[in-house]
Parts: sequence; structure tokens; C-alpha cells
Amino acid sequence: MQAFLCLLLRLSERVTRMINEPNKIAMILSGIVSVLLERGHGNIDVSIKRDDKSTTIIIIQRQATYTDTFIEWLKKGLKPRRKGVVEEYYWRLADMNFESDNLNLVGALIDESEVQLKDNVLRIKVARYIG
Amino acid sequence: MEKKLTNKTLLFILLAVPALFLLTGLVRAVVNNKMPALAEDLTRIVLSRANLFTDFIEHGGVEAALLNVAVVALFNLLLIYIYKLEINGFTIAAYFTVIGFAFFGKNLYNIFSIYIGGHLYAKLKRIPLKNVIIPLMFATALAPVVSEISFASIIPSPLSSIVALLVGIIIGLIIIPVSSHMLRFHDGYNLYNIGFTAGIIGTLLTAFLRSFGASVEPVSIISDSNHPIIIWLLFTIFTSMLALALLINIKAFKEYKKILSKGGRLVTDFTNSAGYAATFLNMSVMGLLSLVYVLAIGGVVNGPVLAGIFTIAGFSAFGKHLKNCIPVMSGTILSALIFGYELSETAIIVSVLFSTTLAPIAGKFGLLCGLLAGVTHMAVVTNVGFIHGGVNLYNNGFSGGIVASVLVPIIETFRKGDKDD
Repeated sequence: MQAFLCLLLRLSERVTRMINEPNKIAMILSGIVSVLLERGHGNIDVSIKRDDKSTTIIIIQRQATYTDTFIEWLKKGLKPRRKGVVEEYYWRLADMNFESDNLNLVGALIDESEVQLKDNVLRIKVARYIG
Repeated sequence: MEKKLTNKTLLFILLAVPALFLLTGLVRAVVNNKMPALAEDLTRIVLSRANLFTDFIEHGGVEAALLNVAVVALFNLLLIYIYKLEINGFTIAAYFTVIGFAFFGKNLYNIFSIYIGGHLYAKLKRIPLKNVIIPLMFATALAPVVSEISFASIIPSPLSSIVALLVGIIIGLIIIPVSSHMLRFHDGYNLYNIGFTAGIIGTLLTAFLRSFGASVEPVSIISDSNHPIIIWLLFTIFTSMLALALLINIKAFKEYKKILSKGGRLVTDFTNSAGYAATFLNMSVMGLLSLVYVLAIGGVVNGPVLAGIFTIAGFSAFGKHLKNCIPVMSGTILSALIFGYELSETAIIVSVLFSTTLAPIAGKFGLLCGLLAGVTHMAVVTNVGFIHGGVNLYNNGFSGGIVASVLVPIIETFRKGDKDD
């Protein structure tokens, strides 16, 4: 009975991990894009690359006319600080960025980030390591 | 400029609260010649059914209640120390909540198996246990289930203790994924998310227990007189926090403005956005405000009320402040008056204090929505306790989840300025 229970839990854990990882990546993407859509406009291109070690998301927004303050806010919010406690529990709220604090949740899900505004082109690159 | 605080220093700051309780409890027991009866009083606390409202001050006496709080707090602090947890707003909120609820409902016996379940969950998920300790601290909201099964004569002893232990383990095993999922139900507008989850799980468990013919009902074992020592302890803790804030940063009041500008929705960690000085200042202000409110309306600072005050203080590091709490509390007070409740009744005081679980609604949508949330909360919270039979200590979190999940979409749909394109 105990062995069966363990097997069942392991299986559910494997399924949960398979589902959760793509969901977390989608949350990161949604979190950043929703901020850009709310504060800016369209013209957003997204590229997602995945391999065995990490997932990299590159977001490019053309005709971006953001202030330095906003770019600094983005950099601060997206500062990588992957925290197991927050990630384990609160990741489902990461796409709700309509308040400045909550971009920190995206920061808690990533391991690398770069934010650059040059010639009215905003380039955001974030990476999340697997495992 | 704020002085840098190491995790070790912060640990000592957190240690000061249980140390004060332990010392006071022991000194009082010696002075009042209660030392011989202390073990017996503590045993009475541990062997109680512990469901809402079992005030340990009434059930075991002030001294034993203070020792119980100290033991439970020290156990949790030990976990924070062993697993090297970062002491941030989330940790402070969980720690103070546990301290508060050790005055009514939590003891080492009924919380321990929940931690074992959490340990098992971490093992099965192959994640470090440190990632789940804080949610587990909140998950002890369901500790009365363990006591209820152990001591309510539903199952013959000693089998009852084994079954209770297993149920506690199952709670620890399932509550983290379930509560994480529940966040989407209210979108982070109910600060006591595990209270909401515990309400749902508690409802299921109570339904099972009732199906076996058990009577699981809320009780009312409440201290009805004030103990000056408890009030002085609270006053000492919260004024010390104010002094500590100014010691860390003399300009703490300037940083405090940053806290007041936040909406407070999950996850808003004030230690991260405003620093420790402003956070301790906010905790001090909110703790003193709660205490003054209770005394001003002629209430009794008993176990449930202490839980309310400590939870408010703890969550003042993680989302609550004057601006987002006062509208909700005012709404709750207003509805209590309309419904004809006595403001100084413990159940009503507790509802007012814990209604601040909905503070993010006022923080995000403003004063009127905060008032509306408070009014709705009072109507709901006074009617949901029966559903789970009092086994969920965070009954207000359960109610808050229901209120937020209904109110927020309505407010978002109809608020001024929002149009569908």
C-alpha cells in the first residue's frame, strides 16, 4: 500500500513538473509583455529558445519611447534573484504585473536578465536555468 | 542611511519576542507560586481540542500560555536558523502569525505532524525543505484537526493519536500545492491565502468527520478579563520595534512613505522595497494601533485577540499598512454596528482585526472599495465558521478568499475609467 502511494505521488510529481515548467516560462513572458502593453504599445517580437540547461526569452519592442525612470524600474524588477521559497509558492501570480511590486515575482523566477533601450528599440533578454 | 543587518542579527531580533514571553512566564510562575502546577497547565493546553475559539490563556492560565507561545515560536525559529532561511517580509509575517496563534490553537503536539508532512512533500518533489518551511508555518492553521481527532473521542485511544498524526502528515503533504493553486482564486487580494485553503481543506475533513457521526463544532473558551501583564508585554514589544527602527535608520519615517505608497497585494515584501527600519516602524505603528483600538472599545486582550494583533504586526512586513487597513477595518466596524453586534465582543474584535486580510483591495481600488470589502467580510466571516467546524484557525482568511474572489472581478469590471476596447 505504502509503495503504491509512493509510486502514485512520484508519478503525479513528474506530471506536475512537466506541466509547471512551461507554465512558469509562460508566466515570465506574460508578466513582462503585459507591462509593455500597458505602458507602451504593440510592435513586440518574442523569441523563446529552450535546451536541456535553460530557457531564454528575448523580447524586442520597436518604436519604444520609454523614460529612463521606467527602464531603471524594469531593470530593478527583472533583477534575477531566484528564490526557492517565492518560486515554489507564489509563481502563479507572476503574470499579474499591474502593480510595480509584482514584477519582482518575475525576477524571482529568472537567473539572468538584460534590459537595453537603444535607438528606440527595447531589448529584454531573460534566462531561466532548468533544475 | 540604513545600517546593514545580517541574518544573524535579524534572528536575534526575532528571538527577543519568545525570550521575553519565556522569561515573563517563568518569573510570574515563581512569583505567583504556580511553578508546581505549570506542567499540568501546559499539559491541559496540549491535550485541548484547540478548535475555534480555545483561548489558551483561559484554558491553561497566563503563565502556561506564555510558555506555550515561547516553545512554539522557538521551534519555528530553530527551523529558520537550521535551514538558513532569509528573514524577509514573508518570514516575518509567518513567524508573527505563528506566535499569535500559539495563544489560541497551536501547540507543539498539533503542529509537528504537519511539518513532517511538509518534509515528505519536499522529499517527494526533490526540492529543499527550506523552500516550503514558511508556507508550512502558515499551514499549521489546520493544527486543530490533529487535536480534534486525538482528543475528541471520535476514535478510541491510542489509535486516535496515530490517525491524527497521519492526518497531520497528509495536511502537510497536500497543503502547499493546493494553496499555491488557490492564489488564482483571489489573485493575491486575500493576504491569508493559506487561511482560505485551510478553510476548504478543513471543510472537507469536517465533512468526513461528521459523516462518521462526530460532532465538530466551534467552541467558546475565552478569557473575559484583561491581564495587565499581557498588555504591557505588547506595549513593550511594539515600542521596542519603534526604537529599533530608529536605531537602524534615523530617517526611517522618510522610508515609511514608500510603504504607504504600496497597494499591498501578494507579494509585497516591505523589507525589500523599503528596508528593515521602515518595516519595523510599520509593524510598530500597526501593532500599537490594533492594541489601542481593542482597549479603546473596552475589549479584552485574550488569546484570539492576541492572534489578531500579532498577525497584523507580522503582515505589516508583507502588505499591510495604515492606508490600506483602516478603510477595511472601518467597513467591518460599520457593518458590525449596522448588524447590531457588540464591538467589544471577542468574535467581533477578531473579525475587525483579521479583516485586514483584504487590505490589498483598499490599497489597489481605494477607500470606498475597502469599506465595501470590510462590510462584506463581516457578513461572511460570522457565517462560515460552522462549515469547517472551527478546525481552521484562519477563519477570516477563508472568508477573505470568498469575499475577494467575488468583489475583485466586480470592482475591476465596473471601476471608473476602465473600458473594453
